Amino acid sequence: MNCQEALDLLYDIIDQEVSEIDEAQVRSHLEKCRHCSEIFRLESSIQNFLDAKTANVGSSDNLESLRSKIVSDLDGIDRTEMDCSSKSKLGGTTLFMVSAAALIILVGASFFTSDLVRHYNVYGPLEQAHFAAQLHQPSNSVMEQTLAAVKSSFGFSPGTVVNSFSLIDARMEKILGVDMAHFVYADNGKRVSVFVALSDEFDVPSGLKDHKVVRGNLEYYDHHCRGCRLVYHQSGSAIIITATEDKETELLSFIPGSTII
Amino acid sequence: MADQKLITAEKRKQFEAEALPHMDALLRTALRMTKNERDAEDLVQEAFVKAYRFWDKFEPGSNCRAWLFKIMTNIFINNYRSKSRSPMAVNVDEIDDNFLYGQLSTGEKSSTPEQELFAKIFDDDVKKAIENLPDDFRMVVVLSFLEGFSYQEIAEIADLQLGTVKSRLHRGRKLLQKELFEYAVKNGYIKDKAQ
Ligand SMILES: [Zn+2]
Repeated sequence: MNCQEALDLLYDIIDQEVSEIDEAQVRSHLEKCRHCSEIFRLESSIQNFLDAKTANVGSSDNLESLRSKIVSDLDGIDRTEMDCSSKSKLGGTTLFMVSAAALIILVGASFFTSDLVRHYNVYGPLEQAHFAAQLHQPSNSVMEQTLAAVKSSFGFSPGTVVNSFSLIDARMEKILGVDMAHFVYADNGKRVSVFVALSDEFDVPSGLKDHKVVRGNLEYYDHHCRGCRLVYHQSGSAIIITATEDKETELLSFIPGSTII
Repeated sequence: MADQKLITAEKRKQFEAEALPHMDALLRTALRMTKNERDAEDLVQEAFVKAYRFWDKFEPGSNCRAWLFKIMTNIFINNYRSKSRSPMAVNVDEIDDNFLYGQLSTGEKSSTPEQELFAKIFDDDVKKAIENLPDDFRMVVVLSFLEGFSYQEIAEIADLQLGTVKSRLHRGRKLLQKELFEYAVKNGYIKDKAQ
């Protein structure tokens, strides 16, 4: 092993990322070569120094207040999870009783689970896709392709900036068996997803049909459960679904063409 | 329809036992990544909230610490990393490898010229030097130095190629050495050989 070969492995050795065989060869070079052995000694010494200087954490006051903030967030999530399931049960029971009164027992039995089933089969996948976007690694080229695809299919394209949010990711995804363009906006940790699909292929969930909201010239369907809000809006041949877990974010602003801020 | 209360309580118990104990490590790294306490605490808080929502995606028995760091690093990259890439003050590739060695080496056997210098450098100076690294380098340096993650783990956490991890770490080290050296020269602790 020559000097260059030994020095190439310098940091691998310091970081303990080297095989025993390589390490043995480097060590035997160092025994013969003062130049390299001095570099290795100094670099290890620098590393030890840096490690010692960076080992400490924030103060325990910070840790305690942070812990209680996190714990109260977890409590909030636990509560919405339990609230939602108890509401569903209640709705189901009422429907069950109505159906039973009409002596349609079998239909009633399927009604009994309908709310939960609807939740997991209809809203769940969209919420999952929204939360899963946090683990995406955005790609600019995919983002541009997706914007262009929506523009050519529907004649509009979602804005790259909405209020204080910027578009950080866009891609095609198959959700509920339908191809959707999924746009992700972020603003200091707050997130919004905008899904766009063909209205021929995707229908507003039947459970929401009776709950149309009209605001100005905008018609939409609102679903809020388990800490995630979904707003459905049909615009020509497109169905646009916006989603967020952040209560204060106005989802309507994210509907392309919407004038409500 | 099992009792949702029980499911939630069980999930919460697991999360508190496995995930929450890593809070101080996450905060330590978050402080160096975001460079300020408020952002660091927000980042850690957000990471735990996401981790909790995703808890069913965590494979029991796998490395929970690395998984939490992956979530946090991802949030950092998407939301906190400075949008405009800071132009590098110095071109890293112009810095010699083993830069401090070149400056400190006395040619004498059994001398440790760096010890005297290290004794004068404070924790805060090192923190500042790390904070001055460009975001991409700093992230890798912090995950390696502070958290002791392996190259492979860093590659997975930050979604980088192994080669990119190694080269960023190498360049980060060169920049750090230069930074600390310049600090020492400015304070008159050592003289610049080149001058
Ligand atoms: Zn040598």
